[in-house]
Amino acid sequence: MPSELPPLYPIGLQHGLVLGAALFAVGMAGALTKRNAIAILMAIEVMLNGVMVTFVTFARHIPGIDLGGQIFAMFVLTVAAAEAAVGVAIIITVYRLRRTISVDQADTLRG
Amino acid sequence: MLIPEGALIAVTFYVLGVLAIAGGVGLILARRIFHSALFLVLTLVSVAGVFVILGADFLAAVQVLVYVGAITVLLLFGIMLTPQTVQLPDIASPGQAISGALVAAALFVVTVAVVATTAWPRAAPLPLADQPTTNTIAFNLFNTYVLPFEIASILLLVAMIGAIVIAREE
Repeated sequence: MPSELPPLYPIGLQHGLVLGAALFAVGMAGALTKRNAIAILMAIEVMLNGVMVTFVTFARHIPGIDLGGQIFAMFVLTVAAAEAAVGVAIIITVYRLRRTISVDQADTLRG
Repeated sequence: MLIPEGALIAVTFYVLGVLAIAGGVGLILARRIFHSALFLVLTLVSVAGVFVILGADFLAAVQVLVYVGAITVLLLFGIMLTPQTVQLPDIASPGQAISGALVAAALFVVTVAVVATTAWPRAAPLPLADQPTTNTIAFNLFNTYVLPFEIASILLLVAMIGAIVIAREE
């Protein structure tokens, strides 16, 4: 039996989930359309933020998990930091080799 | 006339949510990569505010410290070290841009449909504790989640070594 989205106020579980989905979708649109490799990294950070909002929303509204959602969001943050460090290192190396960071021009692996 | 507390919280939530999404859209539409970075900061700070509303005070502080403080600076270093002699087309060709936006919009619609049709447990939100969440997070991090914690530390070590090795001049 499908239930509808709740009213706008007070904010509940679904509001946080929709915000997380919106952030993820916006970041995905950026990752698919931008051509600068660093901009793509930034868009991926926006996607990860959407995931973190979802985790924290679940930690707030589903009882009995004991802040596991917040701890998972911290792990997401850790992985995001590692990903950004390695990503920037790869982009700098590609720039050194090719003098560009456009993902359209770094297409050696293209079939 | 007194405004109920829940309405204030809801209004703040919506303002911060709209700011976060606007930052993401601005990141896509900005012509210069540096402006994209500033829009990213807007998104990250707004998400930190959303964390405060959702009762995650420690995580909001960590978000500001790590994301705004460290990751953004790292990305700015990346921008600084890769100067573009020719202006890049910042957006893909129209067909690619439209199809990318369509895929993202379709994903959003499907996710919202799933959220709307799922029968979630009808629990009222947990009452916010008086003390900060740091205590609970620390206790669980070093008991229930100690193995992921150790793996995360190894991941950070590997990423650090990998970044140094990859970016080093030969």
